[in-house]
Amino acid sequence: MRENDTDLEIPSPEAQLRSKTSYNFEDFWEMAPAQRSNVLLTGIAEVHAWHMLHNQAYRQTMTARGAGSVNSPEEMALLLRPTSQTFKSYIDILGTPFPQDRPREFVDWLSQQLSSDLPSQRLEQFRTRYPSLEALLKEIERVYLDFGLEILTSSGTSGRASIIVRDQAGVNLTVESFYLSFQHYMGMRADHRAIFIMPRDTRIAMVRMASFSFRHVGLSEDRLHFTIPYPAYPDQVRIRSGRTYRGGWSGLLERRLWHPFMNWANDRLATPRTVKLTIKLLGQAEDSHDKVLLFGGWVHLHAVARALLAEGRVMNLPSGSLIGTGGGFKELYPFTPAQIRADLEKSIKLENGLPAPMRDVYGMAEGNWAAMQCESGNYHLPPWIYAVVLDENDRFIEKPDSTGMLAFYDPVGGGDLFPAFFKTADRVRLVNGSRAYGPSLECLCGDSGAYLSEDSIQRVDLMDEAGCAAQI
Amino acid sequence: MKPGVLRKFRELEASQSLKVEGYWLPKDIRKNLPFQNLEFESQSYSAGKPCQPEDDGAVTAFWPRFNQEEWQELLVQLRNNRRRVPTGLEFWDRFRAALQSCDLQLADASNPLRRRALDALPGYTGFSEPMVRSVLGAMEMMSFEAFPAVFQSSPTLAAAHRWQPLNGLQGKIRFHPGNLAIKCLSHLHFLPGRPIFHDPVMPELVVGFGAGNVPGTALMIAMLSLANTLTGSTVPVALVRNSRQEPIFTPIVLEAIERADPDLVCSTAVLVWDYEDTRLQETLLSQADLVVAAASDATIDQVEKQVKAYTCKPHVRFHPHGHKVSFAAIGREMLQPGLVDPSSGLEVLDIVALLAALDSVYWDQFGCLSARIHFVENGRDGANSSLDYARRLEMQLRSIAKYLPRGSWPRQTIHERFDRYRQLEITGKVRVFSRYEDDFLLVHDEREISPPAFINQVNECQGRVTIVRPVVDLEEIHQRYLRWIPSSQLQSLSVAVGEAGKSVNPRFLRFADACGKRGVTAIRTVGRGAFPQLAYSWDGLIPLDMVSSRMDGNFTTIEFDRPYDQILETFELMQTRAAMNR
Repeated sequence: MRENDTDLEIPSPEAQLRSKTSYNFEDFWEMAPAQRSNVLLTGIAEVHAWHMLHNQAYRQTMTARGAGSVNSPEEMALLLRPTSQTFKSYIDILGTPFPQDRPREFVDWLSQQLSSDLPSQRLEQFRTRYPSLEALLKEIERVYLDFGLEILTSSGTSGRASIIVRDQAGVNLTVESFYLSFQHYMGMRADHRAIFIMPRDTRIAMVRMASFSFRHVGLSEDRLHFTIPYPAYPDQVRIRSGRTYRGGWSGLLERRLWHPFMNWANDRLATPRTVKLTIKLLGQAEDSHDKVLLFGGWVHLHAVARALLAEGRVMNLPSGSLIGTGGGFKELYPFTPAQIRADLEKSIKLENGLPAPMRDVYGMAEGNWAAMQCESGNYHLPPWIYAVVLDENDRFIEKPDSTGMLAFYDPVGGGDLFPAFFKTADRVRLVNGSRAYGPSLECLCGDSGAYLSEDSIQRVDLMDEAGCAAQI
Repeated sequence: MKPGVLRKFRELEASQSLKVEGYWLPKDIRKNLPFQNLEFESQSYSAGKPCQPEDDGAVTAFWPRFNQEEWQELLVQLRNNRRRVPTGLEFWDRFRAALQSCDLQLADASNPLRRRALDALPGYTGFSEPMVRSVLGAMEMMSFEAFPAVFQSSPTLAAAHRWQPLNGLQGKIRFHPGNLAIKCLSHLHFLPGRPIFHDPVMPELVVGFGAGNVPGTALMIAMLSLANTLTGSTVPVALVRNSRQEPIFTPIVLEAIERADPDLVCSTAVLVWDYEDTRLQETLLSQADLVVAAASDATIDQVEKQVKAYTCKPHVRFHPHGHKVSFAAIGREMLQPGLVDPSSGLEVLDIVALLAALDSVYWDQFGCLSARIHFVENGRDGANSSLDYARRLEMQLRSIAKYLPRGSWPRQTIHERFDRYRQLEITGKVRVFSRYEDDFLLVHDEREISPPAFINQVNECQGRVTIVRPVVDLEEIHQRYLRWIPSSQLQSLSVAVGEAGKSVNPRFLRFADACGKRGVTAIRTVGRGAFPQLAYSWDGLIPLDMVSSRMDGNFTTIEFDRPYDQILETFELMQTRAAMNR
């Protein structure tokens, strides 16, 4: 071991692999809150030190901020990078949201984001342009096949893609994290039939991880269904969102032709097919008495509910079936979640006549975890996540019950490619997070860990004051 | 902004919160108000954020809610009071004396009005107490000496062709016609004498809407309305809607003026009412001769539609003051090494950096006059560079942060931008001069930038985020950057140009002309950005616009004759004020 000027004990340069905690994910459910915090804080310090040596982008940010040791909340807060920026910084650096136009610079940017030595000589293998982002990402995965990279995307509300990279070890950790959460909080087992209202071919992070995790549970392929029949590649997602177009004639075509066509096709072709297939699969599960996890976005689930109601049909699924909702509203939708819930309750029931339970899932592409909603309505963060909320000055609010911007540290499941220490753009009410613990505040479902209070999650965009001096 | 809580006066009195009036009415009208029977609306803020009255640090502003009859009665009383207001130069002499008294009152630490301002404004608005204090003592920065001259002559169509002198004022004026016909007319040399303004029609009722992003807009509208009397006519009734976001400053200043000379402001009222109260809006707007709206673009649209819908006057005028952005421009002559102010012994570049920093820092850059980006002209060989300017600017911003601290705005936005620009240093074209923990962000950015990225950058420059951009020459500013901004959203340019003892040169006038054509409406020297001179153009409108209609178009004014000298004068004035305040 040696010390550097950050006063941290760090592994010697010969140690290529990050030292890992000896705890497994499941161990964290058994730990008392204080022990859990201590283990995680130790892990955070280790992960920070390791990535300071190996991750150029992280090191630059931390150096610019003057971050060194992590002995206090103030110091820990400096380690958090914003999810909205970290995996999109290529846009500012390349000067374009279309990295396929500058592939070598993009790969160079990517290599700085990762704590992995991507051989720079392989840059020559890349062409000077690619026809699409998907083509570029496939090429990166091919050129660096030996690194086992898997590139995921998230376009959020802007249509501009965040690019998140995982290696096989990171994917495995994420998959394990997801399936343990599905098992623990939603009772998922291998005898379920999983119906995802999602495309099979997609880079959307949450979808990929959720589907992988179900395979990990032990579901066979014939019990795992994807009912959106068309792939959702990042370019398609971008054009459909209608917020970011290419320049020139391509952009004009995108705006005037592809965007309206895609939305028309989605409404008139894809969604009806999706709904039909979903209902068919639900019907099959109903007939064969298979427990079902039906998982999808609010809008798609609502389409299924409305179709069933229009047919005058009610699904009666075996006990143990569950509806999982996930993904925020990325576009305007005329119905509220409460209205959607009401329609689902009317159309999809259990055999005992009660509405099928509905649980929401909260997560983000940058996180290797998801917070599942329990029967009490709260969202439980996995116990290996150190969650805090920040005030508007980026300082910790360390109370057992506090409201602020959610931030998290994932020293155990974050993988080796980048430190999974992020501040989000979501304002939440966090209970029993960080080191603050109030036993009387434990969730009624019995879980002692940190949770986000029901209905408290709000997306916050940082807008400046308006007045006569405002925004162009 | 949502309406506040309604309650009776005695309930308000019983509240423990620090209470302050968010309205102003002349003394004789207030005396007759049935306070105990009136409903009052109140809104509470602490550190600039809405809160409950009982919360720590809460400041509660309140104002009366009148019914239709009470509004009508108010208008009648204000109209009657017009007779008491002096007119013409008598008004102006008394007004200047009252302003001096106001200045003394607000500078006096023991004065209750000053105390009220310092107790209430920081908590309500979020601006720091030193910021508020510095403005209270700066009324003299708004010079009214030559204001009467503004009404004594009227610009002609010659101003559409070239810069014209301003009668009795420093500087020049230019007119940019709004339609092709007038543009063509302006080139006919036999028509230079044609007036731009039609015959004056004095408004009897001015209805104003003041923005609340920085203190003082409602006051500006009230003062401009009063200044109408310099045409010799009776002062109009000035009814100004205060903003819930900042309703405190204007009533304090008006009260100070009233204490000196009650007759001057006895036909003025500042109250709060809702745009959505269509019945009241109809009552007021149908009677207005002139409506002045300083607000968001959306609110201006709404008010303009209401004016058109409700007006009973054939020639009602509407003056919009919407979303605007301003910039600073530093000429290469300021970068000469060894250029020293003989009076203070300081390098002129440091003085320029200080004054330009103040243009960005005042009101934490939330004013439309706040300089967002500082363009620095490339110097000649051996001269200081834009990087040198940025270094000096950093020193000044750091120093200013100690005595004019930033208000209680979230640091998250500065942190987020700091991180982003530090990442961009990898391009070799960006340099961040501030630290993560600073209360400001200063970036030197010489990247090639696209129009959308530039607009995004401009939009980010609030809350003390300042960008220094080098330009090859001043012309690049309007040829490239200003061209990307909608002309209706350009406001002012703070400049540091010129040489000692010399007037503006033809090169500068061409530059100023080009900026005016792009949409810049006011050009002043650095250090004066926070103190708009009412005699000059405000968003393309000059004081004569209060009394007359005219050809479609906008005015641009240059507020100086000898810019270099004025810069040093401004510095000296600030030094004097600083010494007095110690």
